[in-house]
Amino acid sequence: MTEEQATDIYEGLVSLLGEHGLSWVIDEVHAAVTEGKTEVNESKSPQDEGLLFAHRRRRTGVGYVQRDWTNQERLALLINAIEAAVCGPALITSDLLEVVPAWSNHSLAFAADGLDREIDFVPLDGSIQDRVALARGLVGLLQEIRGELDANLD
Amino acid sequence: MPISTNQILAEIGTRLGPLAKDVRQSTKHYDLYEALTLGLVAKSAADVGATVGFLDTNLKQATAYLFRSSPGSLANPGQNFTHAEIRFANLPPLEAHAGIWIAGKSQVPHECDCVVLRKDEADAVRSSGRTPLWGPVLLHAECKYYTKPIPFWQGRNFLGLTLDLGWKGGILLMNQDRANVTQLVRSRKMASALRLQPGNTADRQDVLKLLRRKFRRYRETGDV
Repeated sequence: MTEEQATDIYEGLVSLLGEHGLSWVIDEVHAAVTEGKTEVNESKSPQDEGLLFAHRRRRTGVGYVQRDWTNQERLALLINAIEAAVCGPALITSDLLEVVPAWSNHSLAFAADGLDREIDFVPLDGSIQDRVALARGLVGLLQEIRGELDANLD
Repeated sequence: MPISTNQILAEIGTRLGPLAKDVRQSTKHYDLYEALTLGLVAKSAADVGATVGFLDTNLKQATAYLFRSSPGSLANPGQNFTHAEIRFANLPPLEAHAGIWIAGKSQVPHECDCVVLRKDEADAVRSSGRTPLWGPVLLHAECKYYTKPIPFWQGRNFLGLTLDLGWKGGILLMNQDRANVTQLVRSRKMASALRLQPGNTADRQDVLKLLRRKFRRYRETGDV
């Protein structure tokens, strides 16, 4: 995948997320992009080559460098974020039903302890099947993009 | 064959619409993730021979399943929260709770996303109103569900927490690969870090395997 195509897909996804009220996902990715990427930079001098492994290991310096994300890496971050934010909840409910079958056809409820807030309900009934199928389909499409990115990044 | 940008965006758009509506309205991911972790704890105990039941704060069988979305007190719950009771034959029973405070060696209370402790400690806490102590804890799992890369400091936080809880069965569960966090945590033999990605059966099996090992040890030794 070229830098240009990675940029086009990134911008297309950003636009789709905005249309569907998911700007917070873009914000999370932007925050990570702004921080930059930390990379391990193992430095080794040529005279270390002849040393025993243990000595060489002691001498090897591990350094860290900060750099900007490439367009492809930025797209990979966005894909991961969409998978976690959009597909994750449906896939977790599916996992829950496999792990605790006794919870099927019930709702799970979530409430802040000691705070007067609304209780959130997550139904674990037949209605989740459509969402799980959509989530799996979306994961498949995102994997397709990731596959092309990995081919490039390798 | 290379993907067509317009085609794949159109296909993503058709799936994103209905899912996005649900995401906007639904509970936060990490609440569900913690519930999944509690479910895995309950299942792994049952897998190695325990009798597991879900109870409410009155210690009656739960008919509705309510979990904390923010950390709270085991002694004085604000609502009728659900926990799991785990019984092995001829051994002191255990309880598994999500999102409660546990006092560490430093006496400082820590929020534990999912914790298994002896039921006699939980009973003592319910009658005295104090915070549960780290000693009777069998294991605790910390759940990190991120949409962006998991920050390195989560690994440092986890090790600090696990140290203050006496290196007692600390498990860090993450929804994504994070090599430096995993490397940091795994450098300590008494702590574990595993990926638990939603929808990933292999990840789920790895977590169950680790939890079963901890419950098997309890079944064989009775030690927490």
